[in-house]
Amino acid sequence: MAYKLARCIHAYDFAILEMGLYLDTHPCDTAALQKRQELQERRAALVAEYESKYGPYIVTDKDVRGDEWKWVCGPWPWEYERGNGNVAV
Amino acid sequence: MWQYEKKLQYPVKITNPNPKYAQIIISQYGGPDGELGASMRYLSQRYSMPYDELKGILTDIGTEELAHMEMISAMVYQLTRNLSKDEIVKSGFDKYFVDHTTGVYPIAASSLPWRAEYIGVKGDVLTDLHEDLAAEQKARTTYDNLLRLIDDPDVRDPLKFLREREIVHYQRFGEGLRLATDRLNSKNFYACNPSFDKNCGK
Repeated sequence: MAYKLARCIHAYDFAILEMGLYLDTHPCDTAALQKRQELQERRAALVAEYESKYGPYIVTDKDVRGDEWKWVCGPWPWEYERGNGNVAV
Repeated sequence: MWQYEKKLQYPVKITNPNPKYAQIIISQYGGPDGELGASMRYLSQRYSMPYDELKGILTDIGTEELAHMEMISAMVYQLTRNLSKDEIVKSGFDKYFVDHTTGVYPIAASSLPWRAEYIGVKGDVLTDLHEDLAAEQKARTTYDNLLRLIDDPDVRDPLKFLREREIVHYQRFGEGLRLATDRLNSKNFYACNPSFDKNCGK
């Protein structure tokens, strides 16, 4: 399901951000650097899987693809409606 | 510069509107210890920071606070959807509604609009980091107080996430403070201000 896979990518985004804050105050921690790199690689694999199954991963991607400016297409992240399958959580 | 990512940092999915909750949660948008002040405080302080780690942590936490501001705004938005006239009047939301309808405007729970006095930028590394440590604890207390007053699990869940982030940020700022004092005279950390005085701590 597109939604589940997107949530999974978001979880990796969060882990990568969290490792980034840690590295700001521990910039020479090689184990943490390695861990962050692994997280980035796993995230990239998930984005590739998402794009092969569901088309452009539009949550962060503003590149023009196809014949539509998808950036303006809702729902926007704050517009949760029950059952609307909002991918942009 | 910044780039927008079309997502919330953590999902906000509130099924039942509740304008009473909106009126207290909005304090974490425009209140004295809210997320708008947090991002402005850190993003403003970073210019006078003397050490790279501190420029980095203030940039990254200041940026994350913008994402928290968006989550709080999303909560206020979802809590004030589809309200009837009766719901607006009975919940006391009418006083906000008359000026802003259901737009999201940065005020405290007490209705005071956001003010720059909520933040401190002193241009002194130790002074500013102590402000930041206190700010994270004040925000954590505010989330604790919101969680005391709110029962709806849809609303509690993102509030708990945000409360946890205050604790992580406090930890990172504590490490930043240690990195700063490690570079100063341990017998007198205040002998000079490394944000201003040349050769301070060298």
